[in-house]
Amino acid sequence: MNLAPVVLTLKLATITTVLLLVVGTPLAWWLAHTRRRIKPAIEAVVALPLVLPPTVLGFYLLIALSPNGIVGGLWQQVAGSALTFSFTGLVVASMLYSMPFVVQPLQNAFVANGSRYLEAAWTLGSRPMESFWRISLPLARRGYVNAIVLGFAHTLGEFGVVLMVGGNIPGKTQVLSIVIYDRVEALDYATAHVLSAGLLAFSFAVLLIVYVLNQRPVQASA
Amino acid sequence: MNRFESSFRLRRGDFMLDTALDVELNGVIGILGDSGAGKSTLLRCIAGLERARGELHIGDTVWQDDARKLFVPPWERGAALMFQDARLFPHLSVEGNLRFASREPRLREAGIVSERVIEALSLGPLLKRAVGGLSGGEQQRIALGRAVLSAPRLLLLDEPLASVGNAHKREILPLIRAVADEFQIPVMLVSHSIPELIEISDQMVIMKSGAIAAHGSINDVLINLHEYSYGGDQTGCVLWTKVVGHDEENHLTSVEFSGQHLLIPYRRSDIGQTVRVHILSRNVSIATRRIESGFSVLNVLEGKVQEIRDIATQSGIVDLVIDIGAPLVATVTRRSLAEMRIAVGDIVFAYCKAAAL
Repeated sequence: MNLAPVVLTLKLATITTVLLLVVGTPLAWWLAHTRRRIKPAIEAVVALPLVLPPTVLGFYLLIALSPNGIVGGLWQQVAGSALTFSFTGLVVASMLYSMPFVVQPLQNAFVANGSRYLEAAWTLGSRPMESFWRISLPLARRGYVNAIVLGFAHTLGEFGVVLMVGGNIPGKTQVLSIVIYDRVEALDYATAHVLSAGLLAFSFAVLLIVYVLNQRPVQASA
Repeated sequence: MNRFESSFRLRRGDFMLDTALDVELNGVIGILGDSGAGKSTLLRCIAGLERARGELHIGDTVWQDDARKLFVPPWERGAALMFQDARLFPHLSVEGNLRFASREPRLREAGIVSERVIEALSLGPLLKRAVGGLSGGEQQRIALGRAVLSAPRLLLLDEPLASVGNAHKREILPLIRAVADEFQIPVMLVSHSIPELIEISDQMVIMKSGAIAAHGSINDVLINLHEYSYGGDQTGCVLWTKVVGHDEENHLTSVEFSGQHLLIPYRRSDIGQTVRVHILSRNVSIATRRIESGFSVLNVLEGKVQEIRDIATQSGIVDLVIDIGAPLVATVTRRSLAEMRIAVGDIVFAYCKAAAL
């Protein structure tokens, strides 16, 4: 059996999750602390992928990322290749698609921690960046675990957006869910079964590990 | 020694903080007031956590000066604020909390030895513990240690006894005093309890609905409590006396104050050590001559009547201020005063029960 789609899928989910943590942390932090009036609008935009059919999101992404689109055109000039039907394009699309699954748990964790401990750290002479690394980040541990799991799992299962933006190019954009669809269409149920069961087992295992780990309190052990 | 000069104006809904405070930054400064008087808000303004309009100078250092658009952020001030709820970092052990802000060069410069701090606050046995499951008193001791180890220029304590069980309340105040004395860190201590503040303050500030109602040395403030119509029943004076001996059998300690002697309930202090004695004005009786025998009261202090003050709220009584080297206050009835014909300048004998000290 061809393992390329499995590897590609894991690679896509990993890269997407890591990039989302980098982008999502400051965004979630800002959303958790800002009093700006624009906050609900930003929150709504971040949450859009939760309610939009993936095909709608995919359609607009296809237009934006294509060489004639704003983003795609810029990218073409800088990188020299098209974003659509490429792995990079898939990463960009996946990031938008999985954004709420990463940003929301982080935002909730930052809100729950409030500024009580930060204030204490500040008056002890700890600068904001240092306080973030030493106080806010460890206290938001659960939020990060949830964000990583949900972001990763959600990217694994994506279908509609990928199909619209990435197409079905083996080794480049052909991810697991699309292969499964492909196999079912071709009445190759055996391969579809193996891939589906594998994805099911993997997803369950990851979620189980996370929830077991999450049972432990955040408090430092003695 | 530094001067603390500040003025703050801050509106929060119906509440308005409007303070001007200028004090010598030395020892323990007690800030007294009812809840809602703005004590905590004032501390937050000093720490830089609240941005009021105004200014704040510590000696030559400017922490805030609106006219010059200067506002030093909290992490650059060195004003460690210890919160009512301790706010120990839950993901760190006790030791992790203590080490959080402890930097060797800064400690060395301030002459603070970490081991001494841990010893003075009896934190040794707690070091390896997690912060969950600590008692309120333990949490406050750790928070105090954590603050001292950040080598602050100023220590701000917000109701440090509020979350401490009654059994341990008495342990914390001497520790705060010890920290101020041994590590030479000026302390601003907020409380709504006069007895707590009287026990350790050198200066006292009274706050009322967002403003400073009075401030001065502790005796200046205690003499005038009636005037501020704040806790008038605590009017009195604090004497810094020297221990001269112990009467173990009768469980008494003998102390001396400017040549006169007093007996007080036993205190575990070495001979020669200074102890505070707080004498409440309503526990002082006045005689025009020494009573030689047949009288249970053990202590008599001789002094000259300095002032007779009316108490506006209670017309039947007056406060006599008697100079015994410090302004001792005695609350007596007008009738006694009239019958004894006491006037300013008279020598009188102030009696106070040892049991009431």
